[in-house]
Amino acid sequence: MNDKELRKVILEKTKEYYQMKFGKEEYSEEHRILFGGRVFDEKELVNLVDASLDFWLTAGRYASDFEYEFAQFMDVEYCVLVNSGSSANLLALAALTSPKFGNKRLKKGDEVISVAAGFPTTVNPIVQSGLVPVFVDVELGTYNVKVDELETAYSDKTRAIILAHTMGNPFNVDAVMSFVNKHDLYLIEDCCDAVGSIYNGKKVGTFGHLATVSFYPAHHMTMGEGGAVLTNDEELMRIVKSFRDWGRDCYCAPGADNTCGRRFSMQCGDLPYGYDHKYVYSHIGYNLKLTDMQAAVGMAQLEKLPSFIEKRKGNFKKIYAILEKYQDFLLLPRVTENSEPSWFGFPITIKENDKFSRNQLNRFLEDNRIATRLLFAGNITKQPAYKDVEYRIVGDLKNTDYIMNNTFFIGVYPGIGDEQIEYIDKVFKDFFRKL
Amino acid sequence: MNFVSKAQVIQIFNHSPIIREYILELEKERKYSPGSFVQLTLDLVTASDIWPGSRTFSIASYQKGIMRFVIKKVGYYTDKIFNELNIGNYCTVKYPFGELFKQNTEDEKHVFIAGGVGVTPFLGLLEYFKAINKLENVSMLYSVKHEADLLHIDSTKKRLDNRLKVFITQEITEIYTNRRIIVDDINQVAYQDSNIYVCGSKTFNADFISRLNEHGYQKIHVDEWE
Repeated sequence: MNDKELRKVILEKTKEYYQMKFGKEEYSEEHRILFGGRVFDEKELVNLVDASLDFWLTAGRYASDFEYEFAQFMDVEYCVLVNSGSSANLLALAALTSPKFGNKRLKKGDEVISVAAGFPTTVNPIVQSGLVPVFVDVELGTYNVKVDELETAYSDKTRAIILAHTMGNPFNVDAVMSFVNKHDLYLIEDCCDAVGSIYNGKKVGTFGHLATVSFYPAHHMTMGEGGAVLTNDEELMRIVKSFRDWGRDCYCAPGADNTCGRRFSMQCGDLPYGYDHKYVYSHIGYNLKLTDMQAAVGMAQLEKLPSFIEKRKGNFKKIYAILEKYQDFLLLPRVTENSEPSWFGFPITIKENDKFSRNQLNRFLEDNRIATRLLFAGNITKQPAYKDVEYRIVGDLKNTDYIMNNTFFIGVYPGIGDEQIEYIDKVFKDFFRKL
Repeated sequence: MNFVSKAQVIQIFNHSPIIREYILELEKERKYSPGSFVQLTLDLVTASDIWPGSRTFSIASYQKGIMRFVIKKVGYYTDKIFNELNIGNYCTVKYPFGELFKQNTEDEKHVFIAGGVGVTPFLGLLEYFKAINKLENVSMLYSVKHEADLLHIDSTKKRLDNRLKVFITQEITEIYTNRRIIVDDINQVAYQDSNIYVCGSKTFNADFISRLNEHGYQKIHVDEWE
């Protein structure tokens, strides 16, 4: 048996292993209903083993295919794979600080508009790049930026906006783009929770200069750890790759040398002539690449992504129908006008009442094995990590504070089937019956 | 993004004993940037293998998985390609590379200065400018030693008409200019802020870069490989 034949046997055995180990999981009410998680079959396992048998370890053939296929799926020109959605945000923001942009680069002290009701790693790259986050309040219901406050937030230092499509619900792209164009700003769309969401007939991630996605298990598809930066701009793509790959000037792929043939015959900066181009750095970069094994899992997940998105939309509708009757107590999510969200979760805000608090409802759901999560950092300015951070707040962030105290979400992920939905219905009925 | 694909030779044109044009059909159809270059290896490898011995060639055109480029026999590896890569054979290509042409400059003025087979990336760029109906923004100065060395001259003339000027340096011809390109030729078709692209031998490139710099041209682009 040669190595190719043996590989075939191993991959067949992997399918058998999948069936034995994972193939027969059935839901019962004893199981916890997660807010998100991996949904996979034998294909993910086979790809993972296949990539591991290459023993290439760093980004390779699967990563190359994934970058192309995912860019096609997202309707953008370029996809750069990284090791997480947070890394994707870091790189997207860092790219805008590149000296290659001359006077248009983001410089220390410049302001970047965002929201405080979100995930920290949407905002952290602003701080890490020596820029100043400016926080605008959000709407209750859509949980997205209050666009009428953008002009108030603007100052002569404003250079960029970074916003997430919260919970998969697109922000008001028309209003944000009009603000961006008016003031000649950069826009980064954080699509980590919104892969497949549509605004005005176009996928989110296609509007800004850069967009980011996450492939952590809770997200629309997974590689375990993983993320990507998306752009239609070739120069931005090259800069993102440079920041991702140690900040180097050279574009050789892992394991390749002297692609340009000028490795020892270039003059770069003040370095001696002919200094090995592999060790020339044009950016203050990192190493945020992923492994080919992650990309291999991603390739199998990508095939399932359209069905995952449909399942999320379907689960959202079913849960909405269950909770509609409790609207005296619960503020249910409101879809942004002109959009079709690909939901990350089902956000619920407790209306002011004297019967129960959010924490009481969350505890009841958790006691009954329904996982709950808060809308991430709540009001990020109240987080311990932000105590000494320089930022600017626009207005009073009244809704952001309300979300911090009264909002949470439950899952809509494709691992939730009709039996789980029925159980969710039963548990909510129990809660409201006991009020 | 760079892609690695297995490719099959579907056609070969022998322009001269040392200049050959290959047409390959790629197994994986991926994106291409006009003006970019490809790495070709005779080994069959994937992106998860150590990249073996290879050579770099400018892409003359790429459409729907069919890639065309020109190879000049200049040494050991190109000899090997001429000997081993025949119609029906397979090789591996990695592409696209290079930063010769910048997107979003299509409305500006572009002057291509080509020496010999250095015309290859410009053929791809002409195809691109034709596709977006902006050929009027392009002029080309094309220099070769002998008239027989001219590549795709009929289609290039058709595309550029009087914006193409051909120079023959080692032969007297009746229809072309029989000398080297001089800066005055460039001054006649370029403005100070025009994008000027130089592609030829190492000495050809170095000579023009220095002369263009002396004359104050700011936007000089050279293929970043040898």
